Amino acid sequence: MTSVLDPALPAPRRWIASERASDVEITQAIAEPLFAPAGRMWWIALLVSLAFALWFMGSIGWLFYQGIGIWGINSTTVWGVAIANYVWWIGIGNAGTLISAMLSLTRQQWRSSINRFAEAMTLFAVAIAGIMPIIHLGRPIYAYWLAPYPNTMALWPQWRSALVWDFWAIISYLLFSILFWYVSLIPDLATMRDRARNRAGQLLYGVFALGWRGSARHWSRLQTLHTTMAALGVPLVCSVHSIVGLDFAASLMPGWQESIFPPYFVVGAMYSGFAMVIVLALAIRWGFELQAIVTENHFEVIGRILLMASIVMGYSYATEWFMGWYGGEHSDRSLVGFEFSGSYAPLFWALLICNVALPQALWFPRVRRSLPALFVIAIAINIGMWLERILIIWNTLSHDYMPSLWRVFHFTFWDWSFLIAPLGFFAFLFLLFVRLVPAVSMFDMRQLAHREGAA
Amino acid sequence: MTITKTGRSDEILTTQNVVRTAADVRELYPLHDLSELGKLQTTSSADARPSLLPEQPPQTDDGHAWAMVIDASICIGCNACVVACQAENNVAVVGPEEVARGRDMHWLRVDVYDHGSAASPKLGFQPVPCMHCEHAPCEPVCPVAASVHDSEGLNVQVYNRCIGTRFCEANCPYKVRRFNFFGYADGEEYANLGLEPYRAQRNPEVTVRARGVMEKCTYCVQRISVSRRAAERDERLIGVDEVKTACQSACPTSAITFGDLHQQDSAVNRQKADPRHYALLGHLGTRPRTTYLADVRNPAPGLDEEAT
Repeated sequence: MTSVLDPALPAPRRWIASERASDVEITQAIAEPLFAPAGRMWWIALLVSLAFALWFMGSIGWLFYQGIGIWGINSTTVWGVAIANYVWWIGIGNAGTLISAMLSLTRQQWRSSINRFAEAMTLFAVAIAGIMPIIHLGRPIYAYWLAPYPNTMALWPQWRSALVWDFWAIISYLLFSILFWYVSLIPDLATMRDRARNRAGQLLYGVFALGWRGSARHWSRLQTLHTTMAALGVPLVCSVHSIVGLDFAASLMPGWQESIFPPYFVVGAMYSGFAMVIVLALAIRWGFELQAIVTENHFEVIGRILLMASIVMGYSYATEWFMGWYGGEHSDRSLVGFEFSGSYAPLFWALLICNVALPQALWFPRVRRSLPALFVIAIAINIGMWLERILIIWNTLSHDYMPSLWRVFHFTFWDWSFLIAPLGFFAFLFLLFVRLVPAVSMFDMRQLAHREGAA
Repeated sequence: MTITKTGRSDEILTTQNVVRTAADVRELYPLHDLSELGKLQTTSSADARPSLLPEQPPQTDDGHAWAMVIDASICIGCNACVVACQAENNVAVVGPEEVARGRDMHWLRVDVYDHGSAASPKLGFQPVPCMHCEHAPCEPVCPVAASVHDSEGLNVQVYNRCIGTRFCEANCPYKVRRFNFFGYADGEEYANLGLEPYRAQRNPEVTVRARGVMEKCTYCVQRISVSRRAAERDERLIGVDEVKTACQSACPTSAITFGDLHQQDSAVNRQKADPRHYALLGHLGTRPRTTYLADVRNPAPGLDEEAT
């Protein structure tokens, strides 16, 4: 594949690193690779990720067959990897919606280059997140009892439980993500329909393009719908992760019963989500040779967002420790001590290094502009955020009110399976996505090129 | 008989820790000096702390309010109550592998507190069944209402409704709930090693729990039911202290008292009037129906100095 847009250095414009980027050139740069045969790297990546996807499915099958005893959970530490995964994955999803909705409402032009694949990331991450609470159940076959439906038992869910709120939060967020992603995809699907060279492509893209002709009325309605959905999406994405926070906060346990949890979970979600966007943006930029469209400036601003979020996270951790001490409850103080020096202390220190210490390097513009450095920091943040979620569960459950039953979690092979295999499954879905629909929004990019004066 | 070394080494399994941290011991296992007993205030009245949770439903005339009082001063930590409970309530035997993973199934445990030190222990025992909290933390967190209260103050677990979120156990301050991680009683039994279980092995009055559900102490609800049926048959009310739980019947020192708070002359009411009476983790506002009488010691003067 040849690069249609030649990246020029130094970049003449902030968000498009090319001397000229006409409408046709942008469309070609993004759409053409989809009509060309996939490269060898893509096939290798697909096969590898397929192996992981099968591993994930196999693990779920074994779990259903054997029961959740295959995990390292015990009578005291009754929650483990599945719940941490759930919170982590839904957090990853958070950033896609924020980029599309929040940055669109605040008229941040640079979102045009990254919103499409960030939203796809949201979609897949939320789907994986949605699997986790179901397979976490002792009797997953009855997961639908969380839904209020007329039944012979004349029973409804128990509305006071945060898990019921969560059920609605996940479902509404998943539906919203699909619709929001699809709405902004329609004009590009029409472009694909028009450029498709075979009947199958024309039919497939044509059906989903819903007869888009690009008339002024179409554009006007699309914009109204998209802006309205964005305005709905911002509160929704905040509520989703607040409710995830309430899964813990609406309890009686030391270290969970904290009013800071909802906002702290929202920021944490944004944090890991943006870190994941960096990883995916690097992959797409390299894979499709889109250096002109995803510029270093994009990474630089995401680096600033990560820096801001890392400070908020550090502040939140410090608030937790302070309130644990200031509240004066013996169990809370004891828990803070356990976090720093107990069975999971090495993981806790790793968390602080990954989430708070290491990202401070982003104060330096040189680090924000260095892609390898950003990659390392982004991976570290994703590891740190997973550690944060698992430690919220482990620390509290392993060190609660009853010292006689303080027990630690023991990782089993199946815990590793459910931690690692979904990552491969996510990669598998993402690889299919980049070959089926344009990974960067073509119409948004054309608009951006006009605004930047590159067209 | 000869003893030979196997060359193998195995971990010594235990289901719980001896609590030695001074602050924890003081809070969870208060110890009174006999000489100071007269100065203690009676605390039998219900916890008057304000609460956002609804009060108990109004009682009918023949309503019961089951409660248990455990006297820590006469508990000798023999674990007879644990075994009796296991036999009575079809509690599964899970085997050493599962115990090593921290998955005991006992509905009742005997916690050990040490007011001394590892070198010179001063042990106290505290049997911990379900507290049947009036404001039970396990109930509002269950998404399917499998953990609910009945009209007699029992916190009941509806096995058929349980989907196994385990939030109830996560939110239980006393950690008395037990989860069927595998089908311990349902095709994956340990003790019979693949043989058919004996047909008469189980108590027919008690449900055998399936894989993936939570279970816990029921205050021997089947025994309450037996007494209720007998009383209805004879057209009388359940007699004072007529219901005896399995743990109570098995206790060699009569440390466990069970009965109806609505019957003025019941043994639990007498026990609750004792100045040593206290609720475990009472400051959490859970209003437990299972409460304790604190341990009492009367050390001979100078004995400690002689020992050291």
